[in-house]
Amino acid sequence: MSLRRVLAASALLGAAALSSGCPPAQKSVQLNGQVSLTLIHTSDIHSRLFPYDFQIGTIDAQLGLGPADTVQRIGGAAKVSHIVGRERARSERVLHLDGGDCFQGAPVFNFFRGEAEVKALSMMGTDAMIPANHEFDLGPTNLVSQLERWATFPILAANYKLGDIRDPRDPGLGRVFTPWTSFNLGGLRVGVVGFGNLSTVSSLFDQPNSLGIVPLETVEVAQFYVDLIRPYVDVVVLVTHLGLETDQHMIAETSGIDVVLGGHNHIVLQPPKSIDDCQNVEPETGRHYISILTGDAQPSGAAPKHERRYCNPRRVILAHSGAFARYVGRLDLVLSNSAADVPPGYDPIDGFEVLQSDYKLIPVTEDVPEDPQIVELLEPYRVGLGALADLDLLVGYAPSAVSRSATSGGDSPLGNMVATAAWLRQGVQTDFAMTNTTGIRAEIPPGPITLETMYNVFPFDNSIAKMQLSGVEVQELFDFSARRSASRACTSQVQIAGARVVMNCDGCERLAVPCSVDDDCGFGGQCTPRENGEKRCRVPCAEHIYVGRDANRPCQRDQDCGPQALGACDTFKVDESGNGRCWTEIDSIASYELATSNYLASGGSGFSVLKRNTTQLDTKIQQRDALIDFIRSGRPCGWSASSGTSDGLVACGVDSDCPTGSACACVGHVTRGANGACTTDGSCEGAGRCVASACRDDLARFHERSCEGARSAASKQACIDTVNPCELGGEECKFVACVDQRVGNFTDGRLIMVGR
Amino acid sequence: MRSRALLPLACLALSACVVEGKLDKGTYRVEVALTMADGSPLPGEDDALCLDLRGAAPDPACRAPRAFKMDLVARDASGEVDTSFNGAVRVTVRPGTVIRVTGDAASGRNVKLTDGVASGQIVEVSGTFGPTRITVEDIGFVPQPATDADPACANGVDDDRDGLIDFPADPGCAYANDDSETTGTGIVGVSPTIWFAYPNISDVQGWGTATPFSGESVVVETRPERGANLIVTRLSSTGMFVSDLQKDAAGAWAPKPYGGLYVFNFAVPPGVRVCDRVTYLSGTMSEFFGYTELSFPSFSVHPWQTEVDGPCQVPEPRIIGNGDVKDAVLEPLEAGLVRVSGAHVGGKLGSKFPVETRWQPVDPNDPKDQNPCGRVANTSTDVKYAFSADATNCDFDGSGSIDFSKDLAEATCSCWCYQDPECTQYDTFRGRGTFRMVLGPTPNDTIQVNAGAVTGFSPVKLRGQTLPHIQGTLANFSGGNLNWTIEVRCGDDIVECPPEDAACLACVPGASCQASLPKPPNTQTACVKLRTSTDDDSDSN
Repeated sequence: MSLRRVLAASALLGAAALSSGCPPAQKSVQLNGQVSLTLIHTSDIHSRLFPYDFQIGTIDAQLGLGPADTVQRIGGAAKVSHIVGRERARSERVLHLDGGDCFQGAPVFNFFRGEAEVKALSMMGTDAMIPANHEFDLGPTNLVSQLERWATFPILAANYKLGDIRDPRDPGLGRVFTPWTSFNLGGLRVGVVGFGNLSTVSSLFDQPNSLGIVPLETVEVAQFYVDLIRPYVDVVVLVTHLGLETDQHMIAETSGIDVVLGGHNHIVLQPPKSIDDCQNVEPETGRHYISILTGDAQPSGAAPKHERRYCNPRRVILAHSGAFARYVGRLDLVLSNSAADVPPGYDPIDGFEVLQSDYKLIPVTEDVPEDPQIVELLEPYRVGLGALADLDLLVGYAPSAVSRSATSGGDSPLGNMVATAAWLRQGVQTDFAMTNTTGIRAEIPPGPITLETMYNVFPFDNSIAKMQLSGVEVQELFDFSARRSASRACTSQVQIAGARVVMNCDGCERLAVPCSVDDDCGFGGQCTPRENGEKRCRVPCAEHIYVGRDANRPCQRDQDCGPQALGACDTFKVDESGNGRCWTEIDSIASYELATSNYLASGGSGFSVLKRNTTQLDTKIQQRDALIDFIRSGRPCGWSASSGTSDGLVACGVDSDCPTGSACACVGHVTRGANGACTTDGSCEGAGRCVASACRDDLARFHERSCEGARSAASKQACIDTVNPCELGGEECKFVACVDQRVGNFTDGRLIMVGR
Repeated sequence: MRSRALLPLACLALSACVVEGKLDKGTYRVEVALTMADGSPLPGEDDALCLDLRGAAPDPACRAPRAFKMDLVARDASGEVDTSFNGAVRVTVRPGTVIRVTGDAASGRNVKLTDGVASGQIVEVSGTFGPTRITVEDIGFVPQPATDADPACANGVDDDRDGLIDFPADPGCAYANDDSETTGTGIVGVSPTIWFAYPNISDVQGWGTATPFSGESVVVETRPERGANLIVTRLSSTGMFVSDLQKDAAGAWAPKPYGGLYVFNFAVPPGVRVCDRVTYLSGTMSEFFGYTELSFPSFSVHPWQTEVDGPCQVPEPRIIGNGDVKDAVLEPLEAGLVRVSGAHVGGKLGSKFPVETRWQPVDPNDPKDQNPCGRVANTSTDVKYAFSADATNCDFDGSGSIDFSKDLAEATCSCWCYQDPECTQYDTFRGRGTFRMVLGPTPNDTIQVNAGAVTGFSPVKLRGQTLPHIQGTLANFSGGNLNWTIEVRCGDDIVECPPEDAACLACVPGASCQASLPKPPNTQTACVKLRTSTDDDSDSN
């Protein structure tokens, strides 16, 4: 079936879906001159329906989320709803459009499968939404069920060709998706077209697939719908989940779009970009054009026919409004169709042109009031979560943040911990372990680490899978990782334990075969000329892979392990002589056991070498549980084998008995000082233990939060007196695991990125 | 044919589904008429405002306020004056900022219309460039009368009885001094275009340490007829570097002062090569720890072909010598190509931990003989670290970074490493690939170099040895002791001594052997990969 027939049929189906609920037609009004339009944009909320703790970085501080390097309680659907409602009230013509990925990322999704998210969006009056990759995480049937039951807005996906809903095998997406919709706002007709994600939806490009979706080409679909709806609307708005690069490419190759509200990358464009559309240029004449598909693919395999449509470039506004309910974007537009206002070359078919735009990014901070309706809506889910999973359960304490990124682009502290947790897990204990960097969804902020924190780090219920790989397959595995990493600013896309790898993003000599064009190199390599004029392939690869630490080979530098042994010497742990140990380079005919996530093991993120492995065993141990248990096995802050006590903590009577940065914790002698810090009062007479002061103070604040809901100041104080947070915090700090170097919070250069 | 028949059907079905609305009576829009403050007409694009100021002190970035006379008329749907409109409208400008609004109807940055009209108000704007428009909008703001009473949005009373009290709870309150809790109509009006000249790279660099456009979206002047010549000098894994060139006294292309700019693209810019001329460049300006950069860029380039366009115009790098490593000299060279010749790699760089010793003043009676790395509270002020060739690692806890806020031992160690000109802090090298080049005897006579883009280059192996030439783009990072870093583009940018040439390896700055060092890289070919008929970006990048 030709693309244009497909699109026309889709449009007709969409029309049928809309017409079933259409009011009687009224006489339309004609607007002329300057008018305003406000678009409120949210995207990638990722189930952050409840406020959460977040360490504010430099960029977020500049955007107004809070002071840098502090932990603030941000986000939440109730606050987002307040902002949306407030901004609606301040606008003449307004739409709230959501860019998808509202599913997955917090425990409420794990337990309630998206019901709360859709309900919240409905209650806050969302005008339209698009489906993104994570909406499919629990399958299309779950998505259809949640949307059919709870969505009060259209779900737009123009780039998905859907199956026949009469087919009992079809998941039924055709019942809930429609390609576009329109709104008449005080006489201004706004057409909204939605684009779901293509790049990250697993198996989307396999045909047939379990989703019942055939993905359609972005540029063709965008131009088709612009052409279709332009005569009937004044403004064309696209809401997409394609990512910034694809958004920009789509704008450049089309003509007639006014605004694109994008998502997927979790970025903020402040201010939004203004990009020219219609960017192809005819060299002979200098005229701008776009390519329009005019024919079907040829039976001979030749490309379908295109023709040039000449056009004048117009500025298109492209906005991205962040993620995780941290911000709400507000785009104010002034449009006009008056001859006095529009630019030269204006085509009346383009309706109203954007004269002026103003974008505000509204941070969802702690002091934003909550919409009481949303609070009430989510209360059963909050209570339910408390019953199903004690999210405030303490897992550990982090004296400093555990970062999931590294300035070197290689191994990160949190990546090392996650991989090590799987590697050493009882029942796993393989030769080495690997996980994907992007599967670690949040860093661990400083302070108490709760079960909720672990869900934020690992929202996916992925389990650990084991398998046997030959040395050749291990090489193939890390070569693929190197190629992926090279395409992302030479930042490692995997995190490992039990291995050391050197990835060369510039290209490896062993793959530098002669070539004439890029296709000769395969795997996305480039055929580039050398100084002597000879053309050779440049393909990123893993130049060195080491598995296993050799206790019998001391070293102080890589050269001690061999002449070409870059990365072989691990000097992070040294013996009494100051020597590290050499790691063993892999042998192509040896066999190695790998532990990884079942997501990667099934070929996720393109790891096809793992997908075809027939020795896989799913241990059913969740990565999250492995990390929790790994952290919990650690010692408390201040522990030392030479402390002279059975619990490893220095005995004390008063604070001055303890080293700098520590305080004496004991029952009955701890109070809250005027400055808010916990202080030891009187003497514990040697029965106390030295714990980290920051740990006691932070845990005290954490426990005090349980009294926040008190109805009056007196009852809050009574609650605090009962909980006694300083004493409770001090006692907990005696045993709660300290996430420091001893439990793996470090980088040791196990991943070296060359050519960064 | 059947597919074509489907399309009108689809359209018909779709148009019947559009929900219709109707216009309210009353004010429909505000017409904005604008002239220069003296009544003369607005300039066109060819005689844009501030064209004469570009590159000229004291206001090369055209930041000084410009005044315009503004007349406002509220019109109804039929285009007639709506005499019933007696509200205030908020005045804004994009791009740029409204500095003040003066006139008989002005109140702050608001103008009150009477019987639908407000004439002769003066609007002063600043920080504008390119096509600029003044916008007015009825946001419901009512200026507070000159009385002692609190304005309605700060009086603790739910004046409009909507259940919400005052600013910011009541959305009808534009600001705390708004004397009405009622929401505005939202009607708008936009002025005709006011043409300002686009800023050059030197203007967005601010002719100094910080961009005056921080956080703002800018369009950079790229047109040769306006005196701009932006050439790509480097591609990196996160963006590109461009230099705005002019002819020097000898007729060669040379960068203008403050004429370099780092364009941060998060990835290698597609379809761009060194030597290409940039024909359009816009993005958001920001300061990243002292480094001026243009992020989220939109750009287009003219692909350079020497057969048609002539020799590549990448300019000769500026030489950095001893005494030049200071802000006054290097700030105008930021993001441009620079070269250091005849200096040596710092002799101390290794993963072992340095030895902690006691610091003591040489002359206890000299008040100036202070511990350069002492701290005020909570640490001892008599600690010192001694570094050796393979012991410069200050990351004592192995966290992967030096914690300057909490771990004072690491911070003190890092400070002492800086005091030793030969010392490169190992964690900095491991994390960022940077090392120190020594130009003279003091810590300030050193400059950082990042050669991470060059596979196989090892400053550890070259400790203490002379490098005849090393060049690259100049970056600024104010987060540490060594702010300036030369970022090598590719292997062509480094000229090493022949391994057997002991005289070269040991040659110090100022010695006669400097004259016989190997020649510097050829600027026309170093890191330049021109397009050919079989390698033209059509299938790559």
